[in-house]
Amino acid sequence: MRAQVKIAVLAGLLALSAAAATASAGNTPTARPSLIGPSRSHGKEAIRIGASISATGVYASVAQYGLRGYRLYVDDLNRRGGLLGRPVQLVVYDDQSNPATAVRLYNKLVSEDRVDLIVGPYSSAITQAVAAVAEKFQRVMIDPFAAASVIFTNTHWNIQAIAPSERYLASIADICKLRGYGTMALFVNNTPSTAAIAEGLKARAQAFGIRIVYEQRYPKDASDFSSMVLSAKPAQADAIVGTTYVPDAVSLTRELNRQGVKPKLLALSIGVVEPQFQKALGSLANRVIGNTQWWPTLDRPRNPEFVAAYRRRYHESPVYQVALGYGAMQLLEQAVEQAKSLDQATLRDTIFALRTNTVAGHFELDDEGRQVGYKSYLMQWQSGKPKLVWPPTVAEAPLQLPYRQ
Amino acid sequence: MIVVQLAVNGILLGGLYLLMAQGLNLVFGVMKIVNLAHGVFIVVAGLVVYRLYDAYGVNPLLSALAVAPAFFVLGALLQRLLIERIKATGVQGELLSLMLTYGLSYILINVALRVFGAQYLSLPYLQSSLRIGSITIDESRLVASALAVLLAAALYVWLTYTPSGKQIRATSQSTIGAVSCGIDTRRVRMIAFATGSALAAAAGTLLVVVRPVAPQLGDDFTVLSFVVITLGGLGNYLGAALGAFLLGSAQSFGGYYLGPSVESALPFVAMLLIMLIRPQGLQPRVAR
Repeated sequence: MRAQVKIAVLAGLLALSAAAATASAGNTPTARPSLIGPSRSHGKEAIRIGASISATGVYASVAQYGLRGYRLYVDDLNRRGGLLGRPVQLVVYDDQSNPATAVRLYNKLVSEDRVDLIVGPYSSAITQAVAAVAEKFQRVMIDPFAAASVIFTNTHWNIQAIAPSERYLASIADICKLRGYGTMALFVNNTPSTAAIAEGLKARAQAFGIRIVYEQRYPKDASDFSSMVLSAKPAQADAIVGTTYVPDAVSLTRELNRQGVKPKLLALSIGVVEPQFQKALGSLANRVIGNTQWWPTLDRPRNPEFVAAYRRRYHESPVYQVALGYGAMQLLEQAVEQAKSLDQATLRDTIFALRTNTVAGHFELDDEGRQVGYKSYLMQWQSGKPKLVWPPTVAEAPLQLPYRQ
Repeated sequence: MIVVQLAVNGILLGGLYLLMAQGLNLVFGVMKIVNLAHGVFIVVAGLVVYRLYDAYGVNPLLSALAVAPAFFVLGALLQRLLIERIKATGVQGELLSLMLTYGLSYILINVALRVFGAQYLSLPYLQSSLRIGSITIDESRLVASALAVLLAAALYVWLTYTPSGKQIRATSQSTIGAVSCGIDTRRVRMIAFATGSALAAAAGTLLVVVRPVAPQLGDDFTVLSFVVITLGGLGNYLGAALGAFLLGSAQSFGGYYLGPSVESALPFVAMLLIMLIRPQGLQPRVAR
């Protein structure tokens, strides 16, 4: 009997360690770098660009879109003759959505693999950890998936190439004001980026006199929203906003429906624009508003080529994270070609001075490397189709409100 | 009224947990193996059901009728070809089998990532709820709980009253005794593992309806199932049901009164406490 208890304890430990296997990336099959593009061609040595992107773990679902953006552009670049006349190769690892693993991988990329350039990982949480590596080695790092601006205070080598989180859903406050929705409930996924999205919206809502009647933070892997929605229900908020990723966006929308909560507006952040959101919810997805930073109808350089190339390769329409990854590589190409060098200090100064347009928007930095050019937009599912709805100057369809009656 | 609603939510969540944990419990009860690939079986079955729905519009409950038997066969093969090959007995054999299923889980998760991708997938099915007065009952979890109870009852009847069920219980109590009575214990183990796999598949079918799933969640579901059967006293069927409903209720009430962070931490706190205070589980080991 004692032996059985021992086994039970051991099994428990092993099971827990299986769940925590994220820490042992070095031994996993997915941790082997995947190489894109020729390593040596035309007798010239390739320029190697390193990154870690979550292929597993909580961010993997969305992170893979970002990686597709990187890959698509690098393939295109190689077809056009590469960088400085040399072919380009991507060296990509899986950080398993774990900041500590990502730090180890970027250290490895710079000091062992000796890549020529690095680009950022997915999510603010991971970039926040990795930013220090770029600073330590004095390597330029374009971060297209780190929307939390706080990362870029006191950094010299990190460059934000995404609209800051604070702007993601701020215009929801404008819509509420226009429509006369006076109260708001907030569900906040507790990550740096999603918390910042909520802060940005709250500031603007309060400036407009909109009352926040309910606010709840939840851990990033929360899957059961029944108790949260139950406690939010009595507040009867006009607008419900969740700063979410994909799984919680789906679960929260479902739970609101199940409990018969009928806000006049439902807006969620990351996750809504992804096709799997609509597939998971069917007609329930209609009229849910989400944020985006890119749209096929926007007038941006190489946008049609970008959409066509993506569709050819992945047989679906791109989402904004793809555009951000693609845009980061556009920037890198421009900077390298302009600097005619891979010298990190020269590259950094070149990028800081750049004022240019990419598929992800107009790129412009402030003195600390924070993005001031890229904009955030709102989209809405309408009869099973994603439509750009805000701001009105670029909208392809008018907003459909109320969400439920 | 809120208390009634919380209790209903807790029971429904518990039903889902019971559905997930049942297969793991059976396999442990008979073979003393904690199948660390159990959660991956759940996830992969769920993703297959998703694909069938997405590509051909097959109703998920209907696909369960095909997916669960397929996992039965798969489980039987795994047992025959891999786990049965471990010749060591006693604690050493149990440890080796633990490592084997741990490795299996690792491989399966990575294969599933290649096949299905890392995206969180779910089905738009049973998304509304029944209303009785002001109480709402989530349809998807209700179906999951009903299936859990149905399967638990079927398992109970099978293990208690049928000859093959009795053979399984005999083997779980004493392999040597069972062999000396002429029971083909190899076959018994194969049936147990196959049934455990089929039960995991049945859970996956409903899980993909209840919430978004992705291959990387496999280990999380193993841990959750393990917590449930530990609460119940590993291998104890009534205990597992008790553990599932207790954990579900604790999370429902905890989530409401103490917040979502406490709700997420509860399974692990419960497991630590039970290991420290009452490693034999909430129920004494009576029936296996």
